[in-house]
Amino acid sequence: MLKQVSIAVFLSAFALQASGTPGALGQGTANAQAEVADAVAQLTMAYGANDIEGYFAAYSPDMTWWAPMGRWDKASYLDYWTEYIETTGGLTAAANSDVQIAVAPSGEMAVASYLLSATRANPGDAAPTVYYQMSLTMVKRDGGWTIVHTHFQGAPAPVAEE
Amino acid sequence: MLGIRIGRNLHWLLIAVVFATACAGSDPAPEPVVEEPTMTVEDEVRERMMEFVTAYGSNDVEGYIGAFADDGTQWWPGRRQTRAGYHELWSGVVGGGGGLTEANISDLQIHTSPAGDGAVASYLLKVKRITDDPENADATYQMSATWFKRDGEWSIAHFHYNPVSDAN
Repeated sequence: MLKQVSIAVFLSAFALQASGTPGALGQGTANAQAEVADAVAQLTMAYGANDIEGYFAAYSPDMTWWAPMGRWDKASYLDYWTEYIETTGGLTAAANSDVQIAVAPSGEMAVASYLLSATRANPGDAAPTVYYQMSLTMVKRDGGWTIVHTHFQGAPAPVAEE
Repeated sequence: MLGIRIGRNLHWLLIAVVFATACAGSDPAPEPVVEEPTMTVEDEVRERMMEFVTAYGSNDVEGYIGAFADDGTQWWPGRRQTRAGYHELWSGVVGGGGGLTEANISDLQIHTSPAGDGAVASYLLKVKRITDDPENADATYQMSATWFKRDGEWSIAHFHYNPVSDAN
């Protein structure tokens, strides 16, 4: 009798662990996806509000990036963007669309790709709103998400908005 | 008496020979252990990148497209692309006698995830195309490939490229 109870307890524990493990991993990845979606939304909000400190806080000091002008680093981008805001007034709005996020099995790396629209305060003769194809690769360090690589390039306006 | 002494000496000599032989044959000195250098995650991704670009440059369509995850995303200039769409397009190019004669990467920079199951590789890719138009034979691209390790295999979860000529 005792032996049968022991076997039953063992099998129950095994079944619980077997059913719980994939569920827990899936939940972790889902949580990571939600966190990254929020981080990307916050990034664009800070970008559109000309909040330099809030915007650059998302970038890792050792980040790499590809931009239309080639390789750049965080310090160069910070100098450029600070001067741009001071001389032109920066942006009046920024928004994301077509956001797609993939998360590594551990939930500690993610890549977000999306279309970014940015409306300039003083575009001069140029179109006020410009579009960029964005790819951000982020890692989770010390409980927070930070951008380790950015790749962006200009994009045509979405057909629906033309 | 002399016979007994010789007999005893021979007896000890025999024991010494047997002992020496046994010692010599039982435990040979251990050979120095040469440890294989452990591959870091960055090493793994760098190796996978080289295979990926080699497959691309040698028009190995399946080897090349096989690196992309089924559910992966891609940004191409001006639009999104899928693995299936890229497969169809590149198969058509190579099947039609096109493709590349060369593909080389430079300025490869890699970031890895804390858990070692993700990495992003950014690099410059220079290619030579099979074409009758010499002016369009050479092209350079800014490339980013984000790799995830799922079930022990690396595959590209996201891919983004743009031609340098267009970008600059």
